[in-house]
Amino acid sequence: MKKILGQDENPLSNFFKQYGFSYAMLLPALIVVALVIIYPFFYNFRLAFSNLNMYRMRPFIREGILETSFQIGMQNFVRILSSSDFWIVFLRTIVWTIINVFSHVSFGIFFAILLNRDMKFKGIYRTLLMIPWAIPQYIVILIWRGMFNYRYGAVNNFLGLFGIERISWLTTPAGGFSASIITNVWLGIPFMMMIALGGLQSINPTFYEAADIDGASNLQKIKHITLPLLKPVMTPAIVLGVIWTFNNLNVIYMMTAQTLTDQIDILVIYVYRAAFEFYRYGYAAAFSVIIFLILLVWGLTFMEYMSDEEKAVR
Amino acid sequence: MKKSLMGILILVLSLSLLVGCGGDQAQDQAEEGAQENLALDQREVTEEVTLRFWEKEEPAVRSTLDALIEKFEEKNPNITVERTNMETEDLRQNTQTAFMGGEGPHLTSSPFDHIGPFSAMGIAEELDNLISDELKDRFIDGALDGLSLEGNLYGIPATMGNHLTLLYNKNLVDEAPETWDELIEVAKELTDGDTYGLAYNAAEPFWWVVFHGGFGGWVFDEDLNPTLDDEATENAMQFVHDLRYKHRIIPGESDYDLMDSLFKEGKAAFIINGDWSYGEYADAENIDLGVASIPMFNETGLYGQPMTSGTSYIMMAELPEQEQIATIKFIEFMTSEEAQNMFIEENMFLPANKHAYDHPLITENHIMAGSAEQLQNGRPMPVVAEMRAIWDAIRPSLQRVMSDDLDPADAPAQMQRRAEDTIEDMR
Repeated sequence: MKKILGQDENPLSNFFKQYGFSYAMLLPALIVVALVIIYPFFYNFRLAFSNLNMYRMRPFIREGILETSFQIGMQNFVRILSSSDFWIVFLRTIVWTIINVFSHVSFGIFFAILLNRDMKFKGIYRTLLMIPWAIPQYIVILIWRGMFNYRYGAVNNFLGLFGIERISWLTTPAGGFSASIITNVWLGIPFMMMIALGGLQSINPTFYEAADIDGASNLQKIKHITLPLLKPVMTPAIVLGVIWTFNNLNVIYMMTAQTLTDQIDILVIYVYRAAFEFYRYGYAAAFSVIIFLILLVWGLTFMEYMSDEEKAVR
Repeated sequence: MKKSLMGILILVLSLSLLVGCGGDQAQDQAEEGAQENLALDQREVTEEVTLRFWEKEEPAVRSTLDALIEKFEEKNPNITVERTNMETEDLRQNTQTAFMGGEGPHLTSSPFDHIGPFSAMGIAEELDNLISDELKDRFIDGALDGLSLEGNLYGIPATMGNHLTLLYNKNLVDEAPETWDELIEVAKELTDGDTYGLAYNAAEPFWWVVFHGGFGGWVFDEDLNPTLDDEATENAMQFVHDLRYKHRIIPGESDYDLMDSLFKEGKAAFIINGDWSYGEYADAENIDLGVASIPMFNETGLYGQPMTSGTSYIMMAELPEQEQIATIKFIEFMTSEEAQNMFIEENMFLPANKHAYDHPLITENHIMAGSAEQLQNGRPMPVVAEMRAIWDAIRPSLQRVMSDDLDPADAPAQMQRRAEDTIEDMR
């Protein structure tokens, strides 16, 4: 009825008549988002084409003068992409992301499947498994750092029980990187577990009944029913997980920035240090544009791949 | 539908861009003030002024500050001081950001090295022509030089220190040795099982520069080019390597926490730690604390040379005249003998005001006396932002030398190259 009425009016005013109130309600949130996300996001692109650093900060602060040009931006990008540091750090970031997300997802699904069964004290297990999520991240990291202490740390003491020699966790690159991965894996499991648990609970039990009648084993049920049906739920979670892990500043920085400067940085730490320790704002902005593009390309490809596969299955 | 949505988005975006380009004022007023002949600390505030004072102090120091602020406000009924506490790094970043927005503090209580970025960015006011000679004269020698860059003064020191000293446990050793040879000898005798003669934060550059200075090295030349590739660096690297692998008087993986725990357990005779740690050790059960200068190196005849720093008041640039006067009056009060005595009594800080050094706590208390003595052998840490590049250049090589993964002779060139690269990137 409404649609027929609207046809002879201006479509825009018609649209506002219909949805105006909703948009008015959304406006405050939209303004905030524009101010704190959209505007800084585009401003970052502008910064990326400038050579702003500590010594060029004075005119910028006083008169708002920011020298930008296509050339300067290109110089920034060339400088980043042509340095050998970038590629090493990039490779390390990929290794870091893959190990972490793979562990998050597999442990997450594993615990979710366990929790989804009938067993006693399920509430207690669930609470315990949620704890990493409930403690502020930086406190968790500092506690882990204490546990990785060479002489007094719980980890080395525990290994000592089995006659394993003390490991210099926080002062060698390999040790620091492993320690950071262990910490981050521990931190990331609850999120994937919750998502997987939600997905499991929405799987129709009749599938399992049918499988039982066909005489399928537990493993077969997981492989042919659980995992395929979890995929649509896990895909967005994995995309998020990869982005979070790729851009995870806290863990490595707080674990080892004071002891392993520059030795196990991932890209985001490199950017953070360029901007806030060395005041290279233009360079750091260009660097974050590159990180953004990497993640954008990856995200689009991954989503495409997953939806193609889904179609293929259908 | 999509089109109108985009329309709204573009509208909001362009609006927000407009908002970002707000104006700045209050510049002209400041310039008039400089024309008056009297220095700002000798003039009076004629309007009501509220000072925003941002600091990075520990809780114990904050209560001293509050007591002092109360006294100041009694004396200057026109001026109100609003104190805000934040963590050191936040203080730097927030001040920078807030200054751009025009809502920053009037003054900060910063570590000395905030002067570097603040002056380069034009956030800190140049003080030479604003304050009287009498005010300048009250500080210990060299203190104001340490806060100047390219001949301009940017900060007024509040307290001195943050320097490393030799601490010893009198339960284990009677007195502090005069030279490193003596120390090594004593330490060798004491090192046994999990008790060590010496422990310090061995892989941290701030500790290493003590040795570097003792071998006659320094991190910058006059034009702020790094000078790490020299004999002093190699000797210092060899020396710290020997402490661990030849003399075997320091524990493996000797870091801050380990040093701290060993000392508190009474399992380290000597440690090298800063003035911030005295309070805790003085109260510790297993420690009878002694504080002394870091010994002399027999090879050079020079004493260990820690970098010294302190806390300084930095006034923001471009304040209106009345607010400038109020800020300087506040700084004048905080560096007066009365206020400085309170920092000594409440917090055991070494004062910046030279007249406060006659305080009985400094002359008679052996901990403070030892700390004051070490201050003489220290050298002000360069306040330039490039110092960060030096720390980051030293750390990886030092780390590898201490884990016997790098020949000390190869370290200097590596460190120099890394420092040069980073500094070039910053400019």
